[in-house]
Amino acid sequence: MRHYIYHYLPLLFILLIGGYFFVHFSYFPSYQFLVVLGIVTAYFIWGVVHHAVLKRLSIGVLAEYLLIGGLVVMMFASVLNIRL
Amino acid sequence: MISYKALVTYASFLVVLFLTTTLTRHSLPGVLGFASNITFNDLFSATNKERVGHNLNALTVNETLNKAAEAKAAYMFKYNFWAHVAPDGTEPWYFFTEAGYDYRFAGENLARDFGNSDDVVQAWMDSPSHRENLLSPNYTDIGFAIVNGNLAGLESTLVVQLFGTPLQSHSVATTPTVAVKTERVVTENVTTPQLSLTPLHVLPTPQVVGNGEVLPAINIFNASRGITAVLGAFLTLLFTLDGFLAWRWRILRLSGNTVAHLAILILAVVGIWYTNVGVIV
Repeated sequence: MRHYIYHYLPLLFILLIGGYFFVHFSYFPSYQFLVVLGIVTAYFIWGVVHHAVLKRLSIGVLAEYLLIGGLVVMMFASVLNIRL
Repeated sequence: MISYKALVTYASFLVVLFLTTTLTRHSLPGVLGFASNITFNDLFSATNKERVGHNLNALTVNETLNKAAEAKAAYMFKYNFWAHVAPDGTEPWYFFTEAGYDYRFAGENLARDFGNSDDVVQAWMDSPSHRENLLSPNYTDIGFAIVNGNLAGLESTLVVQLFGTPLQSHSVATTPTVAVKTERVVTENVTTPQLSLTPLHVLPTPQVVGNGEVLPAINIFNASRGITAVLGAFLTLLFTLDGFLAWRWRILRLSGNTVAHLAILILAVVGIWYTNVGVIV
């Protein structure tokens, strides 16, 4: 991990910016859900690029990122007060 | 417990939870909802406290504005929408004139599903456009409606806050105003729109409350938040343990990045924990 520490800077940036906008749109759950979709998409892309650079990209790895991203999206879909 | 199969199971569980709440909303309207303890007096005093704290005049309760606010809330329940402008184009100002309030300045703030009055006012203060309404020096009168009813299948409490200055009042006529989306300066005759919408389904008559606690059969927000937060924390713990053991036993794996998974899961748990149920528009 130590050798690839610079890989984590974009991920940290994605999560920090996403967290900022999530808080910024408090009381506007539809926008918050869009922010969550943006974070998860960026996380997935980061995972693809990270593993492609390390030459460890496989269908299994893609599935893992998709599943965890999907879980996060479903968690927020269950909680955010979105309707109509 | 973090195999692909297990992850699919967790995701399926959340999908089932989401579908169950959605179907319950439509098949058993009013069973799910949001607990609320918003009162007229608390909203009024919290609003004036903010204004006085910003060296502005305290507003006076106007009965006509109260009626206009109640009419707006009833209209939203009847036609099942949640917005300043109705799907048929009816604007907030229609309810002012319909109630008999001829305004020089008028404004509207809306909120729903908040737990208490202070949170409602704080949410408005945190939003620039609502704050501008709440702290506008143009207004002299205020009216509220706190109405409990069924909106899109969920038992909800809508709060309508109307601001106004009557047309005959000239004391603030020379004060320049910044028009925000919910504030109007009268410059033309407001025409009465034709109401042509049909309700999506027949709903129970909304009840004007504002002086007590509203408790639905199941508080859907607390239930969903509790379940998803526990699941998120459980997954975070599993990935932490997995990462620790892989590091401790120097296991080389060709799987996803545990640090990345942990980072997004921790962000999700924190985000869910701090999610607000209240919505403003």
